[in-house]
Amino acid sequence: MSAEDALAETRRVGAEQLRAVWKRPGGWRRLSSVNNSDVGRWFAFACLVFMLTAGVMALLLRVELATPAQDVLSARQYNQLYSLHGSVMMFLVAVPIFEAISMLLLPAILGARELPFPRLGAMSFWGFALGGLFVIGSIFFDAAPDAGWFMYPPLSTQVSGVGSDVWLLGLGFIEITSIAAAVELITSVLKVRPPGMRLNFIPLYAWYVLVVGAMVIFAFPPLIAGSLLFELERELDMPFFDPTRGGDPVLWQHLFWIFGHPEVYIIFLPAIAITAMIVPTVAQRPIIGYSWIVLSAVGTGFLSFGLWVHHMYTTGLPNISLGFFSAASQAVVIPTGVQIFAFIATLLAGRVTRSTPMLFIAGAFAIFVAGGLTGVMVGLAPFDWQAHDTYFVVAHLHYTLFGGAVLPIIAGIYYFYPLITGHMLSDTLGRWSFWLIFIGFNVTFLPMHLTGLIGMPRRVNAYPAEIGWQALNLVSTIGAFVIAAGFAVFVWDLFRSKRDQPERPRNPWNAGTLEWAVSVPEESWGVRSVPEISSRYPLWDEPEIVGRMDRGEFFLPDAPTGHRETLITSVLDATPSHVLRVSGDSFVPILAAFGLGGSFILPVFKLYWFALASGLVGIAAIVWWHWTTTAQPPEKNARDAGMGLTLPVYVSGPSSTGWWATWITMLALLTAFVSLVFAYFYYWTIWPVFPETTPAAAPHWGGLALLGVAWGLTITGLKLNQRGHAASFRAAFVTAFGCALAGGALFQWAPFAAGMDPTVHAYPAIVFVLHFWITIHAALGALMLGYCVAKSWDGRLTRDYDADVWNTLLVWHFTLGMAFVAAAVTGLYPGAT
Amino acid sequence: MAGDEDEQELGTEVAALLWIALGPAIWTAHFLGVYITGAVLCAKTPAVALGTTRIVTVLLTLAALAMLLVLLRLAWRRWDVVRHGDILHEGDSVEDRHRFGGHAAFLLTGLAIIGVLMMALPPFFIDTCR
Repeated sequence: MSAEDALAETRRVGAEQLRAVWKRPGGWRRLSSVNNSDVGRWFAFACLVFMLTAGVMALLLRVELATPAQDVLSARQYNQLYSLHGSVMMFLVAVPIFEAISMLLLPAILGARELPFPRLGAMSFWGFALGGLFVIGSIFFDAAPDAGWFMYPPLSTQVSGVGSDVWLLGLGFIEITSIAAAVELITSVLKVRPPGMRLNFIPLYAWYVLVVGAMVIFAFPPLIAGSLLFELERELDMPFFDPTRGGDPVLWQHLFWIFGHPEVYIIFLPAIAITAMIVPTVAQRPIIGYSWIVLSAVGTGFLSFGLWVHHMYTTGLPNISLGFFSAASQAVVIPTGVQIFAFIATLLAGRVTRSTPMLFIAGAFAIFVAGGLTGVMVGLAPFDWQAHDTYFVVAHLHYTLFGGAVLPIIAGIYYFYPLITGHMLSDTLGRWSFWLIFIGFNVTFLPMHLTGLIGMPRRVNAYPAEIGWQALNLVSTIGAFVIAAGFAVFVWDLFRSKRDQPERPRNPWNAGTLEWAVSVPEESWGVRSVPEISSRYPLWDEPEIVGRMDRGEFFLPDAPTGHRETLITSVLDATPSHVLRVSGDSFVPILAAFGLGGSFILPVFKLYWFALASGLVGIAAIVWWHWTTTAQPPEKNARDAGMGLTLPVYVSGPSSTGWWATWITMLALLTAFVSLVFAYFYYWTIWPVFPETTPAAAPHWGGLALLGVAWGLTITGLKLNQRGHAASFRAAFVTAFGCALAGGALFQWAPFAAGMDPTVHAYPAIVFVLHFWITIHAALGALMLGYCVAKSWDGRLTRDYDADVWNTLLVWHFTLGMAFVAAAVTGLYPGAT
Repeated sequence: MAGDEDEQELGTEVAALLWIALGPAIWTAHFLGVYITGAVLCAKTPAVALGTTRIVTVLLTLAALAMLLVLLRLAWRRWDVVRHGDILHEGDSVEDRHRFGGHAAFLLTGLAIIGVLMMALPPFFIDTCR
């Protein structure tokens, strides 16, 4: 056999191995797939279904408002529909569509095989689908939330029925799954880039994913903390938001909007990210101002956290507070504007090709700039006092969200459709769809500015005929149906049969980024080999790269051990560090999602024991999947990764993706904890006299001390294991396990031991919650310690293969830090006054 | 399987990433400082709140600007644009990546300076807590 024949044979064998390893399950077992392209497609489809449902709700609302005294909907139905329309569009469409698109495209954009935690991604999707169906389905049982999409107490704490519980628990669960998805996406951008993709080569989409993922990590936990307080008030009568017992409804508004305003940018930035991929392609030149766009992504990410009070200008906060937030609201215009200018400059400098995606992008610019200008208006407190809760705000928010998210996302769907399905969408239908949506949008929402300025409040289902709002409302209703027609054309184009179309070209738009190098016809391995790149637009600058990828000349061109693998690289310069074995298809993520989902959904029906059982099933499923698939010792810790490079397949500690994911997850939990501490000090500012009772000293400080011992023993255990003292390691961890459980229990008991009853006043209630937070973390830490001991006994956690121990220690660092702060706050502070 | 080397490498990598975002982080600290000062003082001691808030705002602003100007200088040196004349950072080397980090940090620090100055204005335009 000649050398060439041998090479061809090696490549053929490599391709066969890859095909076998990445083979998708067939038939109904397809549901067990955790491959990013399957899960991403389901995710996107679910978002589309939810969006159309919420769109139909909007049409019903517009029908009700078409004339002054319509009787199509009862007031109760109207309340449920507008509450759900907002909640669904925000939580079930705008945020998850980012996760869906990223899951679908990010591996391709990074030239990677797969995201690092496929099962986490699958669990995130199934949790989202379950929670979403639960929240949307409530409308059919007259049980939907009806207190508005931001659930202000006291209305929402006191309305009868389960609507508010559906919102809090259903969406609370979805927020947690969103954080799970964000952990996966951040880790991917940091660690799963192709070799050579230095920080200055990262595709702009990935920069935005990094920023938005970080924003999710910091923005969602305050709402989760708020939802926890809220549900404790509704279920256990702890008066966090009840002013008659020391609570304050405005606290909810703070927690909600600390989430809610960054969320606007969590929605907006991914859409801009899509724009940043399309613009260079249609202009056929590199983006102008790459550094400037990174500036605007990172800058917007930060500034967006300083805007939350601009939703609360009319709550009676001190003027000085309003002034600070008004100033920040004007400052955020700078980075937001910078990226728009960079796009326009790129289009001006390039040779723009006319295409449907570009049409939607142009329409998005026009609408977003208009929404941005009214944003500057309502960002000014005195103007907002006039416009607050009127249709002016409704017009403003729809202009920003349509221009800043809906149209760019449709542009993205037209642009990436060939990549996702292998077919092109129709240009003719695209133009029809665009003009119907664009015209319909302006007919609907432009008049609403005026409707608002002449005084129509939002959320009313009828208005007097003589007040002069009728003509404007009728116009808006007509426009809404024109938008619906545009969407009908778009959806028809998505799903009509395209079997007669020829196979799509490899790179139909002549783009420069890696996602257009994935194999055609589609293979579930994504890329035949993971490339090494040396420029920002490899497909433009290195024309031979696609051929070399296809021939398997780069990294991981085979799968000799029968594991699914992806390449992990370093954060700054993307030098290869190791090969990660990723988990394969399984039904376990579905079981985990449904188990955990049940623990959120069943309490709505007061089925607490079933909820507990369901939660335990979920936790057991997660433990099982870790036990059977993650951080398994390899037969040999070296792998010929291709291109003459041999890399380890097992790493632990800071080099491993699992350690990064743990770190990011703990950061989210820390943020939720900080929100609870914020609530404590918020009460301190509003109460003229601060209560002086403290938790009983002995269990309080004794509990903290035991947690400290557990932490110390975890460090000792790690060192002992590194030195090969397996028995001592296990002894240390077993002792730590006992200390963790005992310490957590004592700490939780401390406030009760001092006679503090959390239903009497908000003070004992907030102390209870801070202690509760530490206790559940101590339990989590104990679970992980026990897991490590069991795995060590099983012989799969050894001196050389100790990733689980590192992750456990990390959890303990955070747990002890939070316990220390909680103990100091609740144990020392009141004494100090 | 994880040693001191890994931790050192991680330290460098995280530091380099966070370095880019240090300017906005200073803005965040300044923002929280002035907002919390104003909000707490208006809640607890409204009579003297505004005067104190103004003094604290001036002090925090001077401290933030001092740090940001140092950072701006460091970022400018790292960007090194005068010597290299490179504003595109499209080259494939550690040096290019390093200068890109400098450029991004320079821009973000500039944004943070504008942001800090804007945050310093409200106490001087507002006369009462209510």
